[in-house]
Amino acid sequence: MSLVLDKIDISLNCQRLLNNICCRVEGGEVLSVLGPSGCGKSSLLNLICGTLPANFEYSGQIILEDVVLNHLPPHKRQVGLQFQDHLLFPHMTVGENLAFALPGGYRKAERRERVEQALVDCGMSGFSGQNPSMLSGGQKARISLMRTLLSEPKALLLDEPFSRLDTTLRNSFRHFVFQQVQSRRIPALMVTHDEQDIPDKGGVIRLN
Amino acid sequence: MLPAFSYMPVLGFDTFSLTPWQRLLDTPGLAEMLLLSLKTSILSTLLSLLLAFGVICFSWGTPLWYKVQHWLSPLMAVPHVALAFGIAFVLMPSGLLARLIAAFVGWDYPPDWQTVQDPYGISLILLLVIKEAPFLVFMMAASIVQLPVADTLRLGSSLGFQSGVTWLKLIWPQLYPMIRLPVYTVLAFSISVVDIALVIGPANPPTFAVQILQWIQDPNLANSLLAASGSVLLLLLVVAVVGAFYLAEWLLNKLTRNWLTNGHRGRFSSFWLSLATKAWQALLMLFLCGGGALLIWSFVWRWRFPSLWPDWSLRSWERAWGGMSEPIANSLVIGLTATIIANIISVILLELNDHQRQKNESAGRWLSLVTSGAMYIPLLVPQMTFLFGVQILLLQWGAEGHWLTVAGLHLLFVLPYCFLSLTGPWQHYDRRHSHQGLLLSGSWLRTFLQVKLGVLWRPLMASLALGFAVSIAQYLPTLFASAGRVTTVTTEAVGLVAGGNRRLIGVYGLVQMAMPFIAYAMAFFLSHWTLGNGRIVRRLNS
Repeated sequence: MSLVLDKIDISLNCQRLLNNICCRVEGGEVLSVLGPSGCGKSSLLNLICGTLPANFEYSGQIILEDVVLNHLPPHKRQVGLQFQDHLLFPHMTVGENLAFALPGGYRKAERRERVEQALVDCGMSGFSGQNPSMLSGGQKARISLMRTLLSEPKALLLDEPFSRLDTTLRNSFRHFVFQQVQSRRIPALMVTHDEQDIPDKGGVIRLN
Repeated sequence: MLPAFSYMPVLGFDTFSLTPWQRLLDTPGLAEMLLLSLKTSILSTLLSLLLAFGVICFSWGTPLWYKVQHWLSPLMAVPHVALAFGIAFVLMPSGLLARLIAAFVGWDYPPDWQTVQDPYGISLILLLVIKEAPFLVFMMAASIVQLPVADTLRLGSSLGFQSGVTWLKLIWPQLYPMIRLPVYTVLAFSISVVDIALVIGPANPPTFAVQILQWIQDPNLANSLLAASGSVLLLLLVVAVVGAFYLAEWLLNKLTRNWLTNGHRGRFSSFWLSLATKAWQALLMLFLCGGGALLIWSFVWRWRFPSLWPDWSLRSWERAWGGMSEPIANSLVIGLTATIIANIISVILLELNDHQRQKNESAGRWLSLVTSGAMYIPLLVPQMTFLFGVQILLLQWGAEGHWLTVAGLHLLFVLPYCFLSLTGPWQHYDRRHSHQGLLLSGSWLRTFLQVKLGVLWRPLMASLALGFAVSIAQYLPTLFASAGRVTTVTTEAVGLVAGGNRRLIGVYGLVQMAMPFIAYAMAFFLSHWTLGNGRIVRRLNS
């Protein structure tokens, strides 16, 4: 599995935001995109997700597992997205939030099993029936990541995933994320403005 | 309540008994009338909800959404009686639609359709949908800004969901609880509406609310008691329907739990969304055609059926004008009085709420909840039930038939709309403006008038226009309070239904439609322009 960005340019109103981005992220790797706010990081994520507003212009190719994503609608791209605020759905329990993301193919018993397994994986077994608003920030972050992963994405995008967490939580959650990426062997692209977020191994793209 | 049990001293009935109830239950066709009322209200509410939601799903975040929002206020401002006349002119067997078809097919006589006042109430449902869908869109638009819609949509599609399914599974369950009360007011309104039902609803049997009005207007006084018990039954009906709706919501919530998380990502969602847009466009077209039909008919002298081109004349305007000046003046005076008082009361209430909240956060929140809840009461209780009681009181006090009484009754229905439309802007007001103003001027009054009202000038103007539009549209309150002595454009227009003179109806309908539009135009002007140094200049915060 690999995510390839090939000669990506993005411009808004004839003003170049990103210039000739080329990279290749293998499964299990995390590529960090570092830069101050307003440098076009979010536009890059939007481009990969397929949610770039129409007034932006771009050229280049996004290739995931040898499939060109450029003209696929967002919901067919199989790209998971992790936000900085974790956006758990308030009208569903923790378990339902996770089950929501599971693909449609599984039978009922298997769905329940997978949700339970996901809760165990993130150290939160027994939380299935809880109201998401009762969770702490770190717990929300973990559930939100598990939800994204349960949808079985072929690539993971992380949009400043740690910026809303305090320092101690931040370290453990960072570790948790990178571990999950590695064990599932999917390519991940992380956008951040903080040097400390960057994992020890893995590439970095610096934007100005 | 008392007259329902045969106690009505004003008319000489001073013993309690259950006879009116027995007579009510023995009324032939009672079940049919009740069923008709139920059917029209539930169907129209569900359809409006569906349409309103469809429009939001389809257009949210696109330029169309801003256009939709732009058009909402004028759409809602159109008095529903005028709208009903307009739509009737389009749909009736010799109406615009039939003429258009006739031009192609070559009919010589109007087709044998019963498209207006049809026994199934289809045209009534259609009209209610045109009236209610924009209101629901408006309420949804006001609530949806509190939800992280853009992020939810992005997240939904990154999990592989089509956007329509994301709306249905993720946004709708969060949005609906916010608009629950407006939905109930729509339900209550459509059960108890009288004026539209008189114009475009089925005639024999009519909806139950219309039947009650007929009992009230019956010269046989014993029927007043029947009307009294009938209006209590109407209230029970509204309570039952709202209760049933609540129950259905709860059940649906239980039943769809599984469906929410079954992982289906949706097919054809774009098809359904485009269907909703088409339906919305069709309604808008019908709406515009209705207005056009009124305009045409008011200038018509003779118009034989299959021809598309009438003989024009100004005679209907010349004839109507003499009799119209009084109703127009009445409508204006009553509307302005009710609207201005309603806005003053709203502002005072909102200020009190703010004040209370500053002193004590929880008590203030409680107070504002109580006031806005109380504001929904006149919208939820059927006008018929409510006004019947009020009329008896007015009779006892001898206050019937004065324009101030009419204005007072209008106030009851104008106030909630003004209050609710001002609540949002008042809550979003940045209190630091006032603090700064108070420090600079040292005067509480000057700060309030020059700073706060200055900042909130635009919503205030919009609320004034809205209030005026609501007042113009009132039929029952005018009828009940005026004892036939104060006529407004609306009561006159509804009174024309029996006569069936389309030219006159066209004139009255058009005038009724024009009045709120002029109010909106004035509000728009006043909120963008002001007098400075004797010249008209643009307001800075417009």
